[in-house]
Amino acid sequence: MAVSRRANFVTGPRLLAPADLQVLGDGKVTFEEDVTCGQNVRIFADGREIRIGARAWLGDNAQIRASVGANSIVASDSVVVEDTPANFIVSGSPAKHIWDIC
Amino acid sequence: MLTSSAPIFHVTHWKAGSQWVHDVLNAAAPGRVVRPTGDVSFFAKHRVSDGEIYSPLYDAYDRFRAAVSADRPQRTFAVIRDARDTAVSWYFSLRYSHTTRDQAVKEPREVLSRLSKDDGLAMIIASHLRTAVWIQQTWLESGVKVFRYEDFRQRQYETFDELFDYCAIHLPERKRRRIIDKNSFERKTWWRFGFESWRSHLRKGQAGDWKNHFNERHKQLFKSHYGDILVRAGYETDNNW
Repeated sequence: MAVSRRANFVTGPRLLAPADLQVLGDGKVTFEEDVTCGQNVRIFADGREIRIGARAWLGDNAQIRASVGANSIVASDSVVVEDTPANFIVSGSPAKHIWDIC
Repeated sequence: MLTSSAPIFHVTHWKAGSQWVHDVLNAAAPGRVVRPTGDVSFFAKHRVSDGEIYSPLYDAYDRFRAAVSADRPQRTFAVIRDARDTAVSWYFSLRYSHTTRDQAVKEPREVLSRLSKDDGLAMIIASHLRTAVWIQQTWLESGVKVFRYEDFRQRQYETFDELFDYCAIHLPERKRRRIIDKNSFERKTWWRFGFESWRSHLRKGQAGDWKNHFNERHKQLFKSHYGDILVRAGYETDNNW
């Protein structure tokens, strides 16, 4: 895992992420419990706080530039630029809501 | 008093061989099997009658008990399946095999078509599986007779014999065998010819197929949502699978 020296990085229990996870920028990044990341996920926290909610699923090659709510799924290759509420599935670049997890 | 004409209720969750068990019961007790429209709201319009077999009902124990009193003589059994295999089966059904005439299939299929297989399976674990696990959990705690789908697959004669005995469906041995053979899983699927069709509704039905599809992330997602359900259901001895 590569974490920018300027980033304030906090992880909850059981973060499951491969070694190529990158946390970039100077903002605070918080992973709540049981977050899982696919290959080549990048979190960009330039000048802002990003929170990844409990049990969130970040797909391969996802770029995260905003917070992701608990239980949400970010599809592979998506770029999240707006905060995603809990229990959403988002996909695309920029990532759009495609399904409610209920 | 529990007589052989007491109504029989086959309760279950989705992807636990409900069509298969329904077909066997229908062949073993022709004319008696009633197919409810899904959950127990069916009984708001249909009076429970002696002799009838309601198969399958997809609902939780408390909701079932609110619709069918425990005081009434009855034979109720639940069929459950390993929730991991349930998730895999559900993914392939929604992605490929179920008809899209049903809106409940059409919309998730559209979503699944936009997701990778790994992301799609995560979606099923996080969403669809919730209700199935809840239903399963309520029946495990209910004290009602529980059959496991895997036993029907692995020991079909013994398990269906046990089911017939439990339901007081008395048939000669040869007839039982004939019914089970005629409705066997292998007869209803193509894969026995060495061809696994993802588009076949019944697909493989193989116990433990989840091992071919779950990665470490799916395992963690499952555990974080459902805790020790597999231990409680007898599929694992601990949570370190």
